[in-house]
Amino acid sequence: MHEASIVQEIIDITTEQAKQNNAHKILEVEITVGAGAMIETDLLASAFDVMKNETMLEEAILKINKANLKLHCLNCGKIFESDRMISMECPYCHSFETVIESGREMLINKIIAE
Amino acid sequence: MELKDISVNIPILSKSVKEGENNKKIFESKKLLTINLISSPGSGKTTLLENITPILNEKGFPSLVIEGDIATTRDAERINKKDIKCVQINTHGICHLESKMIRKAFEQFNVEHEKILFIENVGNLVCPAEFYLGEHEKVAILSVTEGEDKPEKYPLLFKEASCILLTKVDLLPFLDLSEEVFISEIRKLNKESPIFLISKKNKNSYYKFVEWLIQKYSSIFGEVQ
Repeated sequence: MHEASIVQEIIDITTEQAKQNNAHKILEVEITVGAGAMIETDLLASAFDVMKNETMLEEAILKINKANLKLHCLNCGKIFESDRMISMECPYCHSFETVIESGREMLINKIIAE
Repeated sequence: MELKDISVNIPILSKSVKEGENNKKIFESKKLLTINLISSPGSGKTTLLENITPILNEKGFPSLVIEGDIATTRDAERINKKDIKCVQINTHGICHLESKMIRKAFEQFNVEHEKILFIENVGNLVCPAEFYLGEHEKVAILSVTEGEDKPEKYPLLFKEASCILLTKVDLLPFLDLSEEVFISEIRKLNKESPIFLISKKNKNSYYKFVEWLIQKYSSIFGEVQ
């Protein structure tokens, strides 16, 4: 349950970006959350709706893009994807010798401001 | 009013990572090896610290401890009894420690000749694995009573930990599990990091981990004369 910490970072970073671009109100924030980022996106959205009050993001909507976790199996060499970080077991050869290629990211892509 | 489409492309935790890196610079300027201890509640983090800090003292590696807890000061009281400098952080409901909290807590220390800083994170296998505090090493602790399925259920921590401690191994005879089962479950996720078996009933069980810490210290700051 660290979604509130994540929302606070989103508010801080987007406010700074909006100010640098001489905007005074943020209308939309678009982010990407990887399946391996250990974030519950529904909770993130609720936290955003509460925490945006009395900030530049008061009227902003949060658009969340989800990215799959992409794992590379070192045993059989195959790459596989998962929408959840539950297991790192390779579905082809059942090895756990896998490395995360991508899908751990939490990124602010863009904002729309005025 | 004109709408502005502003491309940002900034990782959400970038500030927190930067603050963690600043912490690391401070720790290194004081020649402190910093260890982030992560486990579920009740796995034995505080017991571990109570038992290894006197051994480290004897070996010339006195330590500092930052205790993270949601609400109480009970862990810090236990550490203070060992005459170890300890600062308590109460997160007031937050499930993990963050680099900013660590910097504030660290400012309260009068660092003299200490060589190791332990950060006991809030008991939780999920969130603390996401936040970099400026540590040199993440150490995961798993007690045998939690069950052998925990590494697979919380893979990130066990994959990233540079050392894994299996605690309460004196209880294994009462469980239907052998140490080999735990080790093979951990090895599925992490082939390389050392796994040390620990029991507070056997003080000798702490020495291998202590040696590992001293070796890590030397690899960063050089041998201690």
